[in-house]
Amino acid sequence: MKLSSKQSRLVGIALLAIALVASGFGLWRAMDLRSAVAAILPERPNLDGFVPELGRRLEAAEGSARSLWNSRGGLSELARLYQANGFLSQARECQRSLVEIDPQNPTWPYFLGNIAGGYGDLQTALPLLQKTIQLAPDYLPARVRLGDSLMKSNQNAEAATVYREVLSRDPENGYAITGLSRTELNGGNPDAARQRLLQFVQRQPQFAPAWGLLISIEERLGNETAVAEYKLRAQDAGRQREMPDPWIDDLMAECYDPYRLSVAASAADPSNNHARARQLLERAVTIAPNDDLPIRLLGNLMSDLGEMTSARTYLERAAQIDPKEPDNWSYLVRVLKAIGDMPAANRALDAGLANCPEAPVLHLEKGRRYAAAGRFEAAAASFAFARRNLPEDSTASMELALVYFKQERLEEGVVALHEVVKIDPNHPVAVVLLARYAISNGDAADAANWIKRARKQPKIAARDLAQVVKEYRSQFGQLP
Amino acid sequence: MSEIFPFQFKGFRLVLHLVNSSRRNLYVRPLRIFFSPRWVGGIVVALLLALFAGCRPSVPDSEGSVRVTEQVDLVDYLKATPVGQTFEGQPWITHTNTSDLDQDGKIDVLFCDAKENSVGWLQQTEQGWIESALATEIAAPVHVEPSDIDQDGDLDLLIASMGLVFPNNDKIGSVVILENDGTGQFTKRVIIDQIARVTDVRAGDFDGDGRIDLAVGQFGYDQGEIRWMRNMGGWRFESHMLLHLSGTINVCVADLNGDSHLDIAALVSQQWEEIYLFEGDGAGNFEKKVIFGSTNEDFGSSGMALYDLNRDGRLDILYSNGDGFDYARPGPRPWHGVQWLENRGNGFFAYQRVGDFAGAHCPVGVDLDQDGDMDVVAVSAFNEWDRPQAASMMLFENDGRMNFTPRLLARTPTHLLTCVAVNLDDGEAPTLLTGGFHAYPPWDRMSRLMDWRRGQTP
Repeated sequence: MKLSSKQSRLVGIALLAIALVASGFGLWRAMDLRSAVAAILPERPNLDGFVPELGRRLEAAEGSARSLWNSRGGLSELARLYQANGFLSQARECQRSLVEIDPQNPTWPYFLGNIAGGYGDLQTALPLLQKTIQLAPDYLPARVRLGDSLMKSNQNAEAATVYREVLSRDPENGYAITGLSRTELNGGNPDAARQRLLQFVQRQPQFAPAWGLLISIEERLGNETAVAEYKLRAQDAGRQREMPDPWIDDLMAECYDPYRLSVAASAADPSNNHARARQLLERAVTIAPNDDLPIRLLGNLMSDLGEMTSARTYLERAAQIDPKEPDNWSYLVRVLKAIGDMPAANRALDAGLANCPEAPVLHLEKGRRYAAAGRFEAAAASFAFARRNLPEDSTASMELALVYFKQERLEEGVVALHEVVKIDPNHPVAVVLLARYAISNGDAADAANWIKRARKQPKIAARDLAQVVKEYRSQFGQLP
Repeated sequence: MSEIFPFQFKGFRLVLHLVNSSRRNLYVRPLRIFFSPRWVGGIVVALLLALFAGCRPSVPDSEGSVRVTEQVDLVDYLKATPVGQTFEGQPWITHTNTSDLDQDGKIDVLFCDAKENSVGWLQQTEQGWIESALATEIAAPVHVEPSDIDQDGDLDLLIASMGLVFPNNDKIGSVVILENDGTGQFTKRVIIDQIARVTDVRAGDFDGDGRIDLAVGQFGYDQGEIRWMRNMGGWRFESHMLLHLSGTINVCVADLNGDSHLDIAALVSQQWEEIYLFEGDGAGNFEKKVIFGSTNEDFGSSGMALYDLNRDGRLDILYSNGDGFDYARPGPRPWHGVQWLENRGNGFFAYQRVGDFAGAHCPVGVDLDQDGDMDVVAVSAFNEWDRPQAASMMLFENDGRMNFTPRLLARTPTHLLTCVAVNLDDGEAPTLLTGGFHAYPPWDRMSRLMDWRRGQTP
């Protein structure tokens, strides 16, 4: 069928009309979105203390958010910048809108749910995390957080289901295993939780959260031997680890707060994520080259990694920036001693004490220097000063005891050892020395008590314990 | 010519013609569309209708979102005066509480000093506060609670002794009771020791036998506990475990679900960041449930207290998060602040944020402005003290409809860990009493015990 010329004109007019309407519709949508976004843009927070670049980026993002064609992009940028830099109210304002105008992007409900859940507002968090999972079913951190949120809402069975779903996708996910064990524990089944955790830590002994929960269960079950053993294993595993969460972790690339970056690096480091810790600290140092905290932390990290020259450079710089911070000097002295540059270590210690005359940690170091030089009286005075000002640390008392013993001031040494065990009841050296002292003093009951305590301390080598028991038997003619 | 994608509708037919006009190139020729002209108008009308029918992007307006309220500076509202003994070094006051200890009709203040390992008493007299020590050689006391535990008519003191304030996994905690002989002399009774570090002890008859039992929170470090201790008489107590998790900071005792039996609410920090309700049946049995939980392991729970904040006859939970002692250097986190859990009855609670406050500790419900509703005061132990504008005490003023406006009360002294409101004998507005915990630098704006009174009308 052919069109007549009149019909062709009509078709042309119709097509033009459709194109115009469609363009108008698009323009109207863009304008509507722009005005809607502009209306909800959060007030810019006080940026005192931040580098100017953050202000510039926020301004640019606000400009985009107010533009006709990139308001969504601008709002997204704002949301990320605000969350990364700790302006959570502003981040939530942006994210609430982004959940609506960018509905297929799973990160918005996730970020928003994560902030809400962080505040304990689980009623808000739960549907957002569920939406995230619908949009990104393979993003397991969202599932683990959903499980955690359900468990903290007393929905144990639902939480267990979510953790099992995680494990069906990643059978070695320690966070899901720990979470599932908690649901079993909450459900009154500590044995099941214990079995699950035991099997897991055999496979992944470096996963600290599992050890923590396992020890709590063993304590509940009254298994003292297991508690003592697992505590030692837990120490080897390091401290509690936060779950790696790439979407959240990536936000730190937008962070301009050296303190937040330092905290994030400190959280990453115990998880043996040295590369991430280093990356975060290097960013912090770039942003705030005159802030001694990230520089010192970077120096310590380099020291842990065995890069001593680099560690020395960073720590010298930290001490130069803030000479009133005792930690800058004490870590520098430690590194210089490790390098073997004793003259430099001595100079750093003297400089540290000149700047921080009251710092107990430097007096501790000074005491060690005196002790190494055989100046025991001066060492004892320094250790005593450190002990007075670090009352909850057993190190100074232990050093003091050793100095007294070298001077053959036995009674004073024993008093110092008792100070050690007041703070650290199972201090391996102090417990063994006190046992030996009691044996040599002929006090069988006291010696037996210390040996009993030593048996509970897994850090005491079996041969040392055997030697003490042998001495006891030799002195008292029987086993303790 | 091939014809593909035919669409046949009621009124019009649209056919796409792909024409292979050359042997080398395949290209799309202009569409040839066949339809009646009245459908053109139909399409236009439909599109216009769609426009006005609301197929527009939905952007939530700011109503109902988080309210960012401008903080009002009220640093001259309260006048601060040091009270008690002068100090050397860095004070570590860990807790303050009120009690008419000598039962003279005037409220006194009790406090724990973890540096001196002592429990002290600020007696309210006409000459002002007079300080005296009630007990020494209690290792790191962190909570003192008055209770006539032996029911002899005078107030005894329950003491939570951590052993050491700073992280330690050893069993160095103890529960100590200072038994009052009625003449102001106290005998120290160690109820239990060599347990995970104890952070709170409260009193209540949980089993209905007429004797006052104990609820005990134990922070521990990697391992901690919550227990209740049945009073067997003769200063003997029998432990019953309620929870084996680390990080308990506070246990509060009251009938929270309205069944006329005492319950225990427990704040568990560390990586858990949860509040548990142990619902008592009056016979020594408890049902456990979680009534608050943060999924942020670094939330920093720091203190909890019970107040009927909205005056509906039910005790609510006022709760702060501001512990900043983890990681790099003690300091604030953006989520630190104060919230309350509204008691909706029958053991159900609803989360409500009061406001942000870096390093928030020790929330206190008090009608500070005397306008008939309960405001919230909190102190900060972990703010950015290098920044001169960092707040150490905040008021969250209640407008009577549970909307709270943050008002800065003080920037100095810094490192305030504990606070208590005291109604003095003069009938004036409540006085606040704070304690300083200076365990980390800077050490240039220190205090031990401070009395804060109204200086001017806001």
